[in-house]
Amino acid sequence: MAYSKKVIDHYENPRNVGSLDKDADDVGTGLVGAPECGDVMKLQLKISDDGMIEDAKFKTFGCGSAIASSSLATEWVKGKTIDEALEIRNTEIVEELALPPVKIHCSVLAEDAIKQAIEDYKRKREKKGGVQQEETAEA
Amino acid sequence: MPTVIGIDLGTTNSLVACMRDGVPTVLADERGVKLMPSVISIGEQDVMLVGDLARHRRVTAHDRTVFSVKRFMGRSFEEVKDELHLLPFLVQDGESGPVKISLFNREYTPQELSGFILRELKRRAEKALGQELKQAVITVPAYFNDAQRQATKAAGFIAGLQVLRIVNEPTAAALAYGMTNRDSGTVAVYDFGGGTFDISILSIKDGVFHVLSTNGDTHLGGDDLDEALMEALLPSLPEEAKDDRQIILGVREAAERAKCDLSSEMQTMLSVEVPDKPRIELELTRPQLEGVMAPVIERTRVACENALKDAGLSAGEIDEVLLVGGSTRIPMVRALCAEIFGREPRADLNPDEVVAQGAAVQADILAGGTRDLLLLDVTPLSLGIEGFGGIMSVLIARNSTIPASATEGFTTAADNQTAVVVHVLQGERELAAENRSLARFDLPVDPLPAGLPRIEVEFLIDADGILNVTARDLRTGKGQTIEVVPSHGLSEDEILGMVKAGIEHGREDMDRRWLVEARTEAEIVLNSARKAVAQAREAGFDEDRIKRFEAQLDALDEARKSDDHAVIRAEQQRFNAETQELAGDLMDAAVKRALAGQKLEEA
Amino acid sequence: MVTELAPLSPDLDHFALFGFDRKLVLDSAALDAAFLRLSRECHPDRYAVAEPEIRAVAERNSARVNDAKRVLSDPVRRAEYVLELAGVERPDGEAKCPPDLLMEVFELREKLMEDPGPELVERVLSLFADVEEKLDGLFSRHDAAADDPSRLEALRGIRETLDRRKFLMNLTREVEGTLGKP
Ligand SMILES: Nc1ncnc2c1ncn2[C@@H]1O[C@H](COP(=O)(O)OP(=O)(O)O)[C@@H](O)[C@H]1O
Ligand SMILES: [Mg+2]
Repeated sequence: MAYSKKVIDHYENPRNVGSLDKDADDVGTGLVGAPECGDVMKLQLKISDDGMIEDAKFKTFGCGSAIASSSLATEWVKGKTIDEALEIRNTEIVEELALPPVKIHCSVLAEDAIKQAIEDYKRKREKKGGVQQEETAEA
Repeated sequence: MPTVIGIDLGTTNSLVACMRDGVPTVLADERGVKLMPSVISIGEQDVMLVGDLARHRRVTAHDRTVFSVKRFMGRSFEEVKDELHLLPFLVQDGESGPVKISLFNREYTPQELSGFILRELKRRAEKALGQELKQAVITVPAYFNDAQRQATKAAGFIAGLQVLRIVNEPTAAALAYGMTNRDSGTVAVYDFGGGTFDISILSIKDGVFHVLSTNGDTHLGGDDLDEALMEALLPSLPEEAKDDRQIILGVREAAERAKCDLSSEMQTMLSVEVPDKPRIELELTRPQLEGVMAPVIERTRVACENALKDAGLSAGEIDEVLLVGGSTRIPMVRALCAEIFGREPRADLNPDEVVAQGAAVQADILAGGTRDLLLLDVTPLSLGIEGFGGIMSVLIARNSTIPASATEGFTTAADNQTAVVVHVLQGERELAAENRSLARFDLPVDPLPAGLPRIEVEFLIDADGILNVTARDLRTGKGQTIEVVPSHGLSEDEILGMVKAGIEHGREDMDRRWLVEARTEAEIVLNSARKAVAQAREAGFDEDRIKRFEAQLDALDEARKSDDHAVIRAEQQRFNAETQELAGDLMDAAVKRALAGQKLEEA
Repeated sequence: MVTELAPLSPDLDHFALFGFDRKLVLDSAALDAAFLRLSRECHPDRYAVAEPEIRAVAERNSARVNDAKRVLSDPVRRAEYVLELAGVERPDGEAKCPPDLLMEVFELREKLMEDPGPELVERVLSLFADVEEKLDGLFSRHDAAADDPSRLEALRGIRETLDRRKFLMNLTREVEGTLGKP
């Protein structure tokens, strides 16, 4: 049950609450929602050129479960590479807790948000890469 | 059709009733008294005394007497430890089981002690009705959780009763009220007793009693008012009295008496009398008392507001307010009630008896007598399970009509996992840890790859408000019932053991019991007679008259040593008759003295 | 004394149990009447002195009636239930929640946190009123549908509108919480 305590701690003292500049090139933003409970979550990652997640922030309007899992997710991804972060599954927590997987939709949010943020970042990179190429071409 | 009795098992007082010629009737004891104090005391020769006799021993035999046992039913030590300093008896942590209450030379569970009260009520009813009784309906505060209900049911079994139904006290009161007032409408039942507070809102129509919502506090009652008053009085006690356990107990008793007096008087003399100790007297006025009680009474307001909200009603939509429980005799309580609901509460019900009467009506419905009434009650608290991250996931919301059920699918997260832990909770908080943990059980699963097992678990809250769990393996179709032993509760085997002990107890030597009861009663009479002697001297009564009285007193004391209960009883009756006149005169003198308003003094 | 009691058929859905057609607009008086009739038949009080097996059936039957009543008497739960019966699910994956809806809701919530002014409150409440009105229209459309395809189309609309309603509902609660503050 030690794990459960940790999650509760995230619920009571959420870490990494806030925003990063969504227009910055090195920031990816994920915006997800769970219609089952009406929760919305924004999760942002600041990613270095070599694909390392340097910072993570989130803003969640929703139940404690969603807040706790967002907080936990941001802690986890910091210092990981993009590929490692994509590996994270919320079922891992459930597994460790040996708890019934109820209310899972809230916790799946975090997983989805990470994916979306990374995709957003990749899209920006591609675009930027594209622009740079164009620029180079013009030059 | 065998008679089913209805029992109001109260924190302070208990009653038993049954339907007689279509009228719910509270049954009285041999002396015509209906209210039985919920007090248990171990008398001479280890005879268990219950009721009035035990109540009189609260101060004189405080190490052998327990009361307010209902406060401990289905509760963990953790939940009750903060209020133990106010009680004169020892309550210990029962760890995973119920708390243990020390009574003289043994420890008892609250279930066993409540069992003694129930057995005494059963005995009374059998005597009054002249027939053996086996089945009963027992009332509980509407806000009782699953564990508290299970504990009450267990107490019934231990007392040798088949408990046909656990009924909510305010609902029972509404039933008794609705029997005689056949109009339709929306009623609020405000039940403020000795240890608990409940508010229920019902719609009554065409014989259907539909509970819309309920709320309350299972630790809020007249006891808390007594405590508040006692705390307020402590500073004005003489120094040497402050550490005297017996005096403190005496102050508590006196505080309760004064509180009750001040429901009808504007001022009273609070007098603390402990054998062989100087008498303490303090003057108290109603405004003083109200100042002390206000914050406690005010706590009932928010529960009323929540109940209205959950019922989707405004105060103006309530047609009648019914008052139940001894503490609703307090004018300040009535005023608050009138203020919350914007109307004067009904004053024509007997707040002490109406719950027992309603229990009798429900008992008759269950026995198949009354057929046209239908009672639809609700579960007071949300039921859920602990889910991801220690969050409670609600399966059955509070105020759902019972019986109610919910099913939840479970599977495994790891390969070859053989059990899934299910943690059942009751309460309204989001975090599992802040709700009452009802039970934790392992759901057995066949070892298979993760996610493959499919177990469907049905949670059913029955008409008693008690949880039943069944599980079905969707792959094999195999079903099983899971015994949910509540945390800090008793298992079926433990209950059976206590039932057996109860049967033994039932076979005890009746002659011996009567003897001990007669002796105890004589002792109580003697105690108060000795006080009377002191008062008579103080009041300057004729010394010859006092001497004659003392002679009578000695005679009773002598008779008390007899081994024949009939001899003791006869002597006591003679004593009562012969000394009645002096007792009357003494009473007059005491009243005069009180009216003269003697100030703080020690006799 | 009752010696036999059959469990309610598991094949009946909540509507059938109450003797109703599968409609999204229900007459609450008729619902109450049907509920009372069933309760009188099923309630465990009638079987209290029967054998334990019979009592257990009565508890379950009665729970079934009460559970059905809870769902049917709430328009939103009733609609969710019909969607479930009809097997209408959210399109899976990322389209789970339309991104513009999320954006709209998220922005409103952020603004609400910064400055819960009366204008914003007004806007949220009117958005919620709109969604309720739309839902009512869809319910009637569903009930009046002449054939399966048009019914299904109404249900799809209901699915989407219910999701929107859920997000706005949370916002409305938030707004009402702000209003409640002195
Ligand atoms: N006249 C009165 N004024 C104030 N309180 C009273 C009066 N009569 C009884 N009480 C209080 O009512 C409580 C007992 O009420 P009761 O309904 O019998 O409780 P319970 O149902 O919890 O056993 C006690 O706290 C007692 O002091
Ligand atoms: Mg009571």
